[in-house]
Amino acid sequence: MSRFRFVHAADVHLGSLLHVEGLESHPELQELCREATYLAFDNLCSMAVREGASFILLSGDLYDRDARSVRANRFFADACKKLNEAGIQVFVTAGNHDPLREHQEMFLLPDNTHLFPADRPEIYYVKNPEGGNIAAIAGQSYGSRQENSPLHLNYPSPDSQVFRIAMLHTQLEKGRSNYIPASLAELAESSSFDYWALGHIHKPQILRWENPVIAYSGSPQGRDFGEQQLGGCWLVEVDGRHIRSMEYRVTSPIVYQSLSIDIGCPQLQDADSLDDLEDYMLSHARDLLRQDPDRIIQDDQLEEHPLTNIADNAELKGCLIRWEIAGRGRLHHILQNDRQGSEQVLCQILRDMLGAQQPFIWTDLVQIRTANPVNADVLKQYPVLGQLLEGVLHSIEEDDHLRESLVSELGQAWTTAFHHEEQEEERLPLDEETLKKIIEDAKQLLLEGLAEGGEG
Amino acid sequence: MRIKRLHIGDFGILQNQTLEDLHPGLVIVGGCNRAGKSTFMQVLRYLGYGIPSGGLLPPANTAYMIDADVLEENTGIQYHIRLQGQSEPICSIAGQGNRVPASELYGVDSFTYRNLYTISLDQLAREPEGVSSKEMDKLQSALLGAGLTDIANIPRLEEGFTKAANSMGGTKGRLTTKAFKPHIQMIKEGVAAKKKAIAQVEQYQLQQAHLSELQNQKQSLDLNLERTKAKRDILETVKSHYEVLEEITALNHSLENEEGAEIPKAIHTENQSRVEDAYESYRERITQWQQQFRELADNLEKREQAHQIQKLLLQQRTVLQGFYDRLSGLQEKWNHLSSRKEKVAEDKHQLFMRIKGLNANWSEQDISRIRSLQLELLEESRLMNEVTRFQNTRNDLDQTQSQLNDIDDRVLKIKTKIEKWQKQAPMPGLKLYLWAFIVSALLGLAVFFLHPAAGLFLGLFGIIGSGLFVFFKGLGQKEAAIRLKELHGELDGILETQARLQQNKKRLTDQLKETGNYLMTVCKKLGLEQSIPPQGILEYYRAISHIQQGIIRLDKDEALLKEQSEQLADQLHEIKNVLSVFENASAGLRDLHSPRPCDVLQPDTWLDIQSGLKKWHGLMLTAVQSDLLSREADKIRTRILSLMGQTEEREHHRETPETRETMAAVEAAAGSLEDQVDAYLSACRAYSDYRKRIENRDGLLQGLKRAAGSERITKAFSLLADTGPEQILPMQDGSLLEQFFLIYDQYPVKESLEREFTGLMDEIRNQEQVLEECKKKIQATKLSLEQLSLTQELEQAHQRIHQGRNGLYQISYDYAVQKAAAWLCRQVRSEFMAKMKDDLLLKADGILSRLTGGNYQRMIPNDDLTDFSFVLGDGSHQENSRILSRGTREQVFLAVRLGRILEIQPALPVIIDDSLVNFDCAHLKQALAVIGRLSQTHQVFIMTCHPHLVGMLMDSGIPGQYWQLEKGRFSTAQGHELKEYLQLNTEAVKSLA
Repeated sequence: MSRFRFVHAADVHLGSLLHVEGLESHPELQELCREATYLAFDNLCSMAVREGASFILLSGDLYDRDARSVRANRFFADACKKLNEAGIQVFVTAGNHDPLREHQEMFLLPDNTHLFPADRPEIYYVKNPEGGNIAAIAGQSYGSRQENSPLHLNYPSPDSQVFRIAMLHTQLEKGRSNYIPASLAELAESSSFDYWALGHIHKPQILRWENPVIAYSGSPQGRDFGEQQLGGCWLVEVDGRHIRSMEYRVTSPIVYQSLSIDIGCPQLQDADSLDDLEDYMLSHARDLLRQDPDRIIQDDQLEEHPLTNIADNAELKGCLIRWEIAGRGRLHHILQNDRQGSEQVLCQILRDMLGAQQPFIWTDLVQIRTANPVNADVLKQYPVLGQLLEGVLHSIEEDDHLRESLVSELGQAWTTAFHHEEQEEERLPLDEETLKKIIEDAKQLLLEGLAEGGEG
Repeated sequence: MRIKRLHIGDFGILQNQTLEDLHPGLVIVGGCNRAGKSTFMQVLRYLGYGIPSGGLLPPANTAYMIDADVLEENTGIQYHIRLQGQSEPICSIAGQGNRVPASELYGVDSFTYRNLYTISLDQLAREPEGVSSKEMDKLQSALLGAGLTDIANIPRLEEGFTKAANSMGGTKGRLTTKAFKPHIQMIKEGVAAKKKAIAQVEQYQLQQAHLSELQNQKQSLDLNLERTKAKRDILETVKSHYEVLEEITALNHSLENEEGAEIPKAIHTENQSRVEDAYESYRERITQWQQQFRELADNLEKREQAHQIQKLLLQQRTVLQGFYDRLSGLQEKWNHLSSRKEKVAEDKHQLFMRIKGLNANWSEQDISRIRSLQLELLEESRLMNEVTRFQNTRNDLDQTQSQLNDIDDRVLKIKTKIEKWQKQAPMPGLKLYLWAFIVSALLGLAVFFLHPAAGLFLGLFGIIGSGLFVFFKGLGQKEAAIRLKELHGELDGILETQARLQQNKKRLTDQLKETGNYLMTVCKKLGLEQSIPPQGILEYYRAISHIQQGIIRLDKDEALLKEQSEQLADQLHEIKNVLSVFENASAGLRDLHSPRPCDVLQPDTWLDIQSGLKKWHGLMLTAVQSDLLSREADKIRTRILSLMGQTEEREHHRETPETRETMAAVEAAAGSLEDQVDAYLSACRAYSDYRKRIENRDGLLQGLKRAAGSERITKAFSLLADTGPEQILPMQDGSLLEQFFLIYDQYPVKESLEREFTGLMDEIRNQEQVLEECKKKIQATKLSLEQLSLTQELEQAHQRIHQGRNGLYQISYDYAVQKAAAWLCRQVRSEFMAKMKDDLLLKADGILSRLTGGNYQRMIPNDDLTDFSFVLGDGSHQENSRILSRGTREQVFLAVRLGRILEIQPALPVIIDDSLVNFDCAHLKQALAVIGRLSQTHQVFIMTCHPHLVGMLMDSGIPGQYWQLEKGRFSTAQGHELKEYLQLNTEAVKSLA
């Protein structure tokens, strides 16, 4: 039986731009953010060559719908040529971002690159240098942006003597899903494949560890603050029909990270100026770079499973950080005195102090959500109000009508009818987390009002 | 809480008043108007909270001062409260001094206490006097209690949040409002830009396809242009070689009938140039021969003898050349012998002059005498040694003699010195001294007698002086002895030297004699006198010896000169003989021998022979040259005939020694040859002309071939051959040259070819123009593709969207927080109303029922809590308080306050300041019953000026304490006393009215 390696990646979104604020006067960082998805894919290819991979799987969304460019096409064609020179084959399924009816390659792809058709499932066999089949790869591309039919159910069964892989770009939702309705159970029950190489979810996950292995590779490079993990791909080593190991190889040169500062923490509880806060934030940011490279892979399952390993392959170029200054403390009054001004000043200082170092740390945004320290005790004076408030807050979570009533008050900019893939640019997604933050800040505002107005 | 003692130090009209042992239940303070009842109420109102600044408070004389002891009944702790000025009240536990906040004692805030516990008539209204509209909510909360205090600020907060939100984004947070608009605009612009940028990809694909089409078009145009250019190149070459083609064609026609083509078969035309060269050479030789022969003849006495002389010269050529070759040697020899002859004469003269110089008496005859001297018997070396020896011996002898003379002088001098020192022979010292002593002593003795001192002095002087004299004298004698000894030694040495010199002198004398004898013998041999000094003998010997050698050498030279002259004479005689043969032949004479020259060293003799030899030698060379030229001419002629392919036609012209030399024969032969050569050359020229035309044609063909074979034309033909059926030119199989002629044949006149060429040039220009336009389009498309491949616009669009969304997020978030806060306020209040309304005012309901005698059973706050609705005893409802009578309304608000007072713990003192005046008797009685019950749990202060109220209180049996207040002064009183006091005051007031 043959022993070989392959790379499982997806959601490359080549050409996508990293969303970050304030880089106008920093062309070098701007360039890095512009190049991040290219660099990540380059890291991926280099790793594949270095590790002697036989082939690379790209399970959908190689390109980004909102960042379609000639350059991305050319870059991919060039990369495939290099991989061809290294004897590595590339298997690509189109996803909802680059469906075949909307996207076509502008440059001639070399022979090593196989793009699955959209009108039918296809099986490709990978051969070893001696000419024997070592793996069978089944897949089907998206024809349009939405794919409502369970394409995977029509995948033909490959030769059972080789390692069998199925590529699928799915949200893994059963029912009326626009992204290939499927369920984990369906895939798990399939005996035709040994490995399901999934795409669409940008976070790396292994949903099933054996018979068959079902895994999302995540995206090689996060593109906004919703994708804060280190991007990468799976390097899978196979012996015959058995997986020997799965290593998560980090490829992302840039990482998004949200950091929260509690002004009530021991280091800041006695602080009485913005300087103290600045120092603490600078120190906190620098500590970030001293952490282990796998710090942002937060899936304990991945870290602990004996089959997997996380390796940092990419040189970290920098971090894009969004700060949230919260909590109760003495700094609250200083910060709230001119909240916007404080946010801007802190943001600028952090950019100036951390932006030029290597790896760079760029502050995208500073949000001040601190609360008056007296807020904590306000409700003791108003026990009835406290009970009522808690009751209302609890009801928001339980009562959809109440929740809708609140949401309807928040302004037309917010929408709960959003989808990650179909984002309306002029509307802001009001997700659970955002709503919670708004409610919490509203509560703090209310308590602050009570504290200030208690004495009439 | 109850006030046990109250001291008012300074507060308005109340100055230094103390109320001790205040009743724990009901305290009635009765007083007329302006007695200080309201002032007292304010003292109680502010006791636990401090006196506020501003307002309409009664002034202090110096500073407010109130002091009180209060008892907390629940704990039994007594506190002391002190108010000083307008500062915070100081509250401490009595007896301990521990300070505690006064608010801890009171439990309610100042506003609530003021409005709830200190009840004046003004306050028993829906909107009490002194309460601002802003404070109304708070008042409602205070009145209603049951948690309403907690939400007292909620409506105001909600209003604030709503206002803040509205100022940001309007009531609905529409995206068209000012705050959102710029961000939305930015996003829209970004989205539009993004769509445009993404559309670039489609544009790129279209342009890519367009580029492909253009490139195909260009390729086709390139090919067409190349083909047209190829045709142009071919036609251009044909055009530029049109005359050549014409000429070749004409040459081909003319050569077809050319008879010169046959000539090479008859004669050797290939030798034309060689024949021409040879014939030229032949002519040259003949001419030279004629010159040479004439030159020979001219140098003869008889020209007709030339042929004979030439023959003779050729015969004697070797001999004559031999003489001539030796001529320079003979000249040299003759010159040498002549100079030798002169030199021998000169040497002889010089020798004679030397002989005369040695001895003037000698003549030339003495030469033989000198020659005969046997000088070889004398050895010059010995003579020289003997002369030297003689001179050295004589010098040594002279020197020895001189030394001997010196020694004699020295002996004489030493002997003189010895004699001198001997005269100074030593004398005996003591003897001398004795004599001197005696003489001196005697002389001294003698004088002593005459003059003792002088005698003594003289005697001592003589003795000492003689002693000194003898001493020094002794020293000189000793030195003389030493000197004598030395002189004797020296004299002995000199005498010994003298003897040795004497012996040496004798030996030298003998030696001189021997040498002198030898020299005398030599003189004799040389014929010299004996008086000549030895050096003179030697010099003479040398001179005569030299002369003798010169004589011998001269003799040898003369003999050699003579011998060589003889030899030269023989050689010259031989030459002379040969030359005379030529001379004779030249003159036509017989051959005669010439005589032998007598003195060969005579210049005339030599010059005669030399010039003769040169002349005939020159003629001999001329003859030889002439002969050589004749031979060469014959050879050339033979070669010419051979080159022409002919043989000698005339046998008599054949070369023979007899015919060769005759001028006529030679010229005849030359004439014959000239004819033959002329005929040959004519034929050759005809053939050459034919060849030239052939070559001319071939050359033209070659040039044409080169032109046809050039890379450009080959490529052009190749290109046109590949173009398939649409051939621009009629191409056929065959060489390129043949193609050229085929094309040439198509254009019988050059003009038609030029017209075709011009047309092609126009076509090329058109095609180039089209191609250039196509290239420009390709370039523009490539540029467009390059532009479309840039992602700058896409990046800017995304950046713009991102910025817009971030801005939108910020403002929307802030708006949402404010709106959410307002919403929370509403929800909380709504919840409160929904859940708590029913529990409100339960106690107040009972009080109101009692106050109204059961007419009003229940009062319910409305939704905004600003008023009440009522349930009457008959079950009917009244919607608000505005429709009530004043008394009933005051009962309602008294009931509300008392109800709340009963609910609030701890029980605080209640002050009722003439609030019951509008109650009729029945309702007053019911109110007092309620107050009586209240006084069981609360300390109640009632301020009144009405005697009937006091009377009714007394009648009610409620335990209490009565205080009379008159112009700010308190005094305890019984109930009836106070009633009477108030009654009197009331009447007095009425009477005054």
